[in-house]
Amino acid sequence: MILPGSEPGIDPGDEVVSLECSADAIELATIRGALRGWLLNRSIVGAKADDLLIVLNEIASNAVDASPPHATMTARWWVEGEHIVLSVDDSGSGFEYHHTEPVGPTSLRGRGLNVVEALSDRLQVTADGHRTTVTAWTAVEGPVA
Amino acid sequence: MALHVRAERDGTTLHVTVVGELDAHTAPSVAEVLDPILVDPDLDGVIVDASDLSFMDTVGISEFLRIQRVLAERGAFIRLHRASPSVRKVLDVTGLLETFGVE
Repeated sequence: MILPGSEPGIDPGDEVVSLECSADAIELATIRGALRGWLLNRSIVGAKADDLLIVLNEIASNAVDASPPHATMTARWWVEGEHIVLSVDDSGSGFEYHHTEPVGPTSLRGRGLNVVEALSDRLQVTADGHRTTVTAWTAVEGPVA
Repeated sequence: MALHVRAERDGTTLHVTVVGELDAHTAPSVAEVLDPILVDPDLDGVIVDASDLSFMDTVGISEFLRIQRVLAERGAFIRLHRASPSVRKVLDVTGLLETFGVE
């Protein structure tokens, strides 16, 4: 579903990491590196860190695909209760999001959002006609420092 | 993070080593190195050593699936060996562990 222009629920006072860059695949490694460092600082490592890196990368990679040339995208992440929230907005015009259908083993494309769904607890797509924001909530065990 | 792809022929098998992170930016390196070799009709299998592939996304998966399709047309195979936990996870959630013979 596309929700008109609403901001995801960021609690005031929460630290929000925000990384604006060109909507180019060359930036994916930079975004992953920044999230990896942030997770490491919070002792989130191993399988959960792997999941979060995969989720943010797929959302950002989709944003690159959806963006016109010379556009920018912004990756953001923050803590919301027991969840780490990963979000990317781009200047693509948005897409209809419904629960994604499983992709067969011979299909070459279209796995990105399936992977995001499999590894996160909640996924939201908002668009206002100019920017599209994809946000994923992933639970982590125990408090996040 | 760059991706280094190296291929070594051993009889009819191609041994491939991929080192680094495989995403939409680095995926073309796989085709650049492998595609010229894969046209050889005598090649009956590709074994990828993924032990130093620290990250792979769905664009990387699509690249290996494309190669798998080319090989399968003539009865040849591709296997990913020694996948890291992260690479294994992304193959698991996409239901492709068996396709690539991941233990």
